[in-house]
Amino acid sequence: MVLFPGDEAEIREMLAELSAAASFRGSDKPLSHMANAAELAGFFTEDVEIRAKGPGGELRRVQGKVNLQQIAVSAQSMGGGLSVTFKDVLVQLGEEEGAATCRLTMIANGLSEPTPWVQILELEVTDSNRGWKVARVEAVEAVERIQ
Amino acid sequence: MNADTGSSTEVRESPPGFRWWHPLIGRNPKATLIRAVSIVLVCFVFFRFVALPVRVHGVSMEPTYRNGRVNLINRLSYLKSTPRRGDVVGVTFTGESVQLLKRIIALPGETFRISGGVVHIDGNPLEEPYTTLNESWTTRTEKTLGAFEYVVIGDNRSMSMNLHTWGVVDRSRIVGKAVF
Repeated sequence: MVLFPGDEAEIREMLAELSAAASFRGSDKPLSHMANAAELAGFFTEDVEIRAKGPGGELRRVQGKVNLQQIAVSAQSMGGGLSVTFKDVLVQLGEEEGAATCRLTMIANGLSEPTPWVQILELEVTDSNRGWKVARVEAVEAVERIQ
Repeated sequence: MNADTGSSTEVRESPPGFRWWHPLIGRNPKATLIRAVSIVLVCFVFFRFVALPVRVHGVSMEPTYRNGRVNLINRLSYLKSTPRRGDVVGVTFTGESVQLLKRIIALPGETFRISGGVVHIDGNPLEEPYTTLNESWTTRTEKTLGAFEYVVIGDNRSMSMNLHTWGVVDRSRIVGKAVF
């Protein structure tokens, strides 16, 4: 246990909690979906911007915490369950205090999908009064798809 | 043999100097410790810097590699040579905990496209005995690779092209060649 963790340790802890919040079981009740989605949205800033590709390769853009929460509820309602883990997390603290960039590998295992969805994510995080929040998420391609 | 009772009871005695821990750590604990540390060090160096152990998740490399199969990625394979067509390689993301296991099918400078499930390199069809084919795989454009670019792809083309992670990777992302 660290009494006064540094910024990097705090960010890493926040990301670990975020991955746990993004995971859900297919057997969860609808009321749990709402609670889970609210918990997940709590890791993001009000004006968060997410640009990521779905498992099918299509680019999805989500603007705002409220929209994110709605998408999270919809995704959980579809059932199936999802396990999200972040690996090889690189944290680079910004020159100005209270800002940092993280680069990580996300593995999303849908319980009904035969192949895990692996994606590099670049996150901009900011330190607000209530801890570190994710302000921007962008998917980075490890493999450039040929159309 | 016990002469008094006439029964044949065999009495086994430990050799002189025997201690209960000898079977566990040997007669010379110092030498055993040095051996154990050496083995741990060799294993650490081998599995960290020479051959990275990986477990296959997913079906994109079937039938060559089944889901759950364990393999090793030889990090030294491209120290003195460049990746070759047909090599199965590990491709990194942001670190080495997670890698894509894919097959190289196009090399730097080559022009690549897929038409009707057939890969064409510089306009010539590529023979791929390792694949399960799907005629619906077709790229809309041709791609000419840069000086350090390779096309990596899975062997299982029976799955949807959109659900399959494949495409152009930079040489710097290729960790090494699969051993088995």
